[in-house]
Amino acid sequence: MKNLKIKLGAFVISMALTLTASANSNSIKIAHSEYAFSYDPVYCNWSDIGRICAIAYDALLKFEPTNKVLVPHLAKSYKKLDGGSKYRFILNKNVTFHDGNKLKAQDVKYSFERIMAIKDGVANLIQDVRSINVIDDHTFDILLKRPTAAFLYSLPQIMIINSKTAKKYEVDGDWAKKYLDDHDLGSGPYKLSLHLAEQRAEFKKYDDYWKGWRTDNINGVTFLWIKDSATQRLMLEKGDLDIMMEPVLSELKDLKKNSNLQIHSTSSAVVFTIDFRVIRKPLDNINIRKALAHAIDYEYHLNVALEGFGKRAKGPLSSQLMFFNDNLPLVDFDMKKAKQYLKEAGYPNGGFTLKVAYESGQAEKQRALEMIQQNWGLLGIKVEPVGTDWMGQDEMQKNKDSDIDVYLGYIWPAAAETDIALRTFYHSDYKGVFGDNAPFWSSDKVDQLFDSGIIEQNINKRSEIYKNLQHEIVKGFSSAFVSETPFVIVTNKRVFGYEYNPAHHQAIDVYNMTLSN
Amino acid sequence: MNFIIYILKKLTYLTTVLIGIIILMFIIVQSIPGDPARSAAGPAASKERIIEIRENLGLDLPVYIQVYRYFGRVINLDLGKSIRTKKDVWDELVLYLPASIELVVSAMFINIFFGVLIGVYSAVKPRQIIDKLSNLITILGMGLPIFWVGIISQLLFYNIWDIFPYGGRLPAGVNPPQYQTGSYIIDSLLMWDLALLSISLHHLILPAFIMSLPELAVTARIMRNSILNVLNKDYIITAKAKGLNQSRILFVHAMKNAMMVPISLFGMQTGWILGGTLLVESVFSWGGLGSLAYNAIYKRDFPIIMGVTLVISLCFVLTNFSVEIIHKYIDKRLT
Amino acid sequence: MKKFRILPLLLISSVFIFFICSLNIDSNSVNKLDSKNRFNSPNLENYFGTDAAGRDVFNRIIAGTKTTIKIAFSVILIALFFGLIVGTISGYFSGIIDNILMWITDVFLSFPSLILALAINAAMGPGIDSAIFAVGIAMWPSYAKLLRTSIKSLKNEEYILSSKAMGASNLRVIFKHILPNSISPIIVQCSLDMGYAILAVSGLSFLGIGAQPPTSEWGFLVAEGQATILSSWWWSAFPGIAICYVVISFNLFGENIRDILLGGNNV
Repeated sequence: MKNLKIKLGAFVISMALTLTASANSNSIKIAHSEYAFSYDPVYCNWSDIGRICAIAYDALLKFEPTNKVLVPHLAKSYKKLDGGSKYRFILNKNVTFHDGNKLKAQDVKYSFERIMAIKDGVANLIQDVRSINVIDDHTFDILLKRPTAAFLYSLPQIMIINSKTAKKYEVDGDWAKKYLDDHDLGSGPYKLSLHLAEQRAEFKKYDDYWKGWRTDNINGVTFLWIKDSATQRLMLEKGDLDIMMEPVLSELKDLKKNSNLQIHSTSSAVVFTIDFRVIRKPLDNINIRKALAHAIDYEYHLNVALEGFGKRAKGPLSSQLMFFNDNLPLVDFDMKKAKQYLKEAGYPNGGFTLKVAYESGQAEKQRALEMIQQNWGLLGIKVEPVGTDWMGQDEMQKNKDSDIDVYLGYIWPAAAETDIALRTFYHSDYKGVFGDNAPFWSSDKVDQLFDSGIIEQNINKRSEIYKNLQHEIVKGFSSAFVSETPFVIVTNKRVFGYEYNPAHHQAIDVYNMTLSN
Repeated sequence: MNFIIYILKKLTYLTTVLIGIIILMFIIVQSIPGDPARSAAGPAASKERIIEIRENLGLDLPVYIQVYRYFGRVINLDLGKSIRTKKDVWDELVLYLPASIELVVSAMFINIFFGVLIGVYSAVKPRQIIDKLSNLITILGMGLPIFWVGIISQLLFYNIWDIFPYGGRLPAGVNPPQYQTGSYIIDSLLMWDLALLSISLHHLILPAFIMSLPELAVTARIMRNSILNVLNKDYIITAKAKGLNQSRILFVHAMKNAMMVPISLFGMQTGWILGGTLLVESVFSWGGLGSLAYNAIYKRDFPIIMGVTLVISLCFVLTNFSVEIIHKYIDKRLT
Repeated sequence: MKKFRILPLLLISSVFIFFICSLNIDSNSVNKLDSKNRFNSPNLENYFGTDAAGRDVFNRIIAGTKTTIKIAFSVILIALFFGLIVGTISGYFSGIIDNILMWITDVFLSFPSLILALAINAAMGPGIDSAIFAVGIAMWPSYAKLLRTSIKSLKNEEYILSSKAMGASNLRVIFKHILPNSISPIIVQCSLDMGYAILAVSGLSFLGIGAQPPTSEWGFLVAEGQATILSSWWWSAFPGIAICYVVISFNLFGENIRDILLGGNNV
């Protein structure tokens, strides 16, 4: 029975060790269920990688969540020139990367050119950039193809990497992509200290961070990949975890009772939609789409899927973003209207099947799926679900020939700016491979509005254009707009200073937070 | 000499079976929906690039040439690139393999050790409390869905009783030992880091036990029946009638004979346990091939799924082969 | 001649009764969303509680019985289909055909069945039908081998040889004499495999590639309830118990059949 003795000993020792481990940490532990397979900041717009990039990298500008304005960050100052076709930046002089190299304008040029060459991730955000002109070590110009009014709002997502070191690790001209899969080349407050594939990533304080440190800063960050949300909850309750990123909303009423925990919830910039692929029959008929939209029980979704958090969305833009149009017509849940539209379309008893793609692990989408299965079923329409993860769904929707009819999707703004938020979802340029236009829908009027809005410098005129744009989109019934997704995290009571930032959806700004003990 | 010939014959057959496995994998890969050239090229590729890749992959060539090329790639350990991470499938497999091997070996160990123990004890004292109890447990063990047992045991052992961790190979904040084999148990032993060893063992126990459960039940039952069968044979009864000493020697002899039955089963059991890695690793966040495959399923990452299938089957074939050799060897020694 | 034992008979009959009940259940009413009765813990009205959409878990489990039984039978049928064909040909004709067929059988046997089922299911796309097909394909080799062994041992029996001497064709010999006498081990294997088939398919459903909503397949239910297991344990717990119950029933019944037909070695 030597086996048993060893096992007992193991148990005792490890209990002792875990007790000591949790007692002395000015380090914050964050759990998420979607693992970041790379640390490459080109994928900064993917929330799990973006979360990590936000603490290891810096961008030229930062989006300040309280006042909702852009503030200088790596760039000390900037000037708009040539009517908005050129921006001149002056960099802070005291910025160093994690390995000691100083930040120079060449780094910015390299970072931008890299993204343009890789053509993935945040590439859409800088597609209007023509070139970067380096004037001296700390001054450079960004030249745009056209006077894009929203350009500055893309910048918080463009991370600047250490080009000198990156060039050393380039393999076959890959712009250091392979190296960045498990290393960091940033200048941010925390640097990568341990990478355990599929398990966790640990970051330690970078002592020479250019913005300096306070006495109450957090010293380290550990990102844990825990797929099962029940496990995350257990660990949070036991104190093995400080922040749980994606709580199951129905568990919140139990968690509220726990005085050691705090629930932070805000309405977010993300809108949940049910997209109809208009290139499929019979969804090409707008009456069918209207019927389906009226057969959605919006109240049920808000109460059941969202447990009362979140609000009804009437259009593609969330009320959190600028130029939000409050006067859009409401599509109500009315089965009689739905049947009427079906009749007008020539399918009085339904009789067709719709393949619906959705993220199977997600509670909100699961409940939505069940609801449309029941309601559309009552119209005589069979719903065939195809469960996958968001990447799988992404692949399917970019493929024009895929046989999916309906997507349960999110309009996920790449930046906290209206044009950027909507463009890749509704402009005709973005059907299929290069964008997020899942419905494959477009209209000339919408394109025209986008094209005039993007270069319009006057803010009142822009407001008009974008409000009109939302109206035109809603008229097209390419999607049913269901809800503004709430963003909820649960933290241990000792975590202070968290604030939701719509420009970095799902990121945790550890540098500006503290732990009390 | 005969034995060596036996081994060689088996090895040759083994090779043909491996060839068959690769052909079968090729057939399965062909039925994957979608355009492999498109997936390999990535979402941002142009039409020209996709055509180029199609030519590279030889997708327009006749089938038998494609099989041949597939063969060549597999032999060269080129199993494609993961759709999700764009990394080489082989690299990912090598990264996650040791964790699974650690789990499977531990599970087999628990299976053999406790299975034989319980089986022998039940056989020696049939129809008493222990026998009836173990009979009940073995019936349950064969019927329990291991993914469900995993979840429930997490609930009990982590949430309610707090004896075992939720899963993972190490707790957060503890660094793994220096990489030598990839198995935390072996590596921490090699470094003589006993604290790390004990922590790793603590994390290993529950998943390994859960994984061994169905086979433990079978082993115990078969061991019990096997021993009782041998004990009932005439020569044993006669020997018992002749006196205690002889019966003890013959009991040991009976054991050796009885063991032959479960040994021949161990190979197949490894296979079933290997199948179980998929379910147990996902529940316990174990970080082995099962976890890898679980994510790949969810993300439709076919190169990874096929790679995991190949590697696990390879392990299974090798284990079976070894067990058969050992079985034959022991058999020869006994007769 | 050993006889049927009480417990397995009772268990399998209860399963049969649940199966009959589930055939008569209206799946629309079982799946009806009820936002007022969500997450009820087990009580007199909802024996096993309700889930996140207000559906009664007990009803869903009963409704899932027919799915489960259908799955088990379908898997066995597919396995039998391929297994019998390969086993018969291989057993009756020795030489090259036998060797090739055995080689194919061994290739399939080299894959742990869940892994092979996973690969096939992933390639064919998610869904209960591809899961059934995948598990069936993974299970046919054992039937082929069983039949082949039976046939090979019977082939040279007196009555077969005399039958052939009298001019009976191969096919006639196979169907009239060999198959009927080889049936026993096949039947035993089938009863024992029913349980495994259910476990395998519910495992695939748990992973998300088997049954799809709104099915009440038990493995799928366990997966559904996993995220909320801490607040609503009944959603995952009871379907798992149901799986266990049915699998054990088939296992015990199968062992009983084995004792009767093969004079088993259960002491």
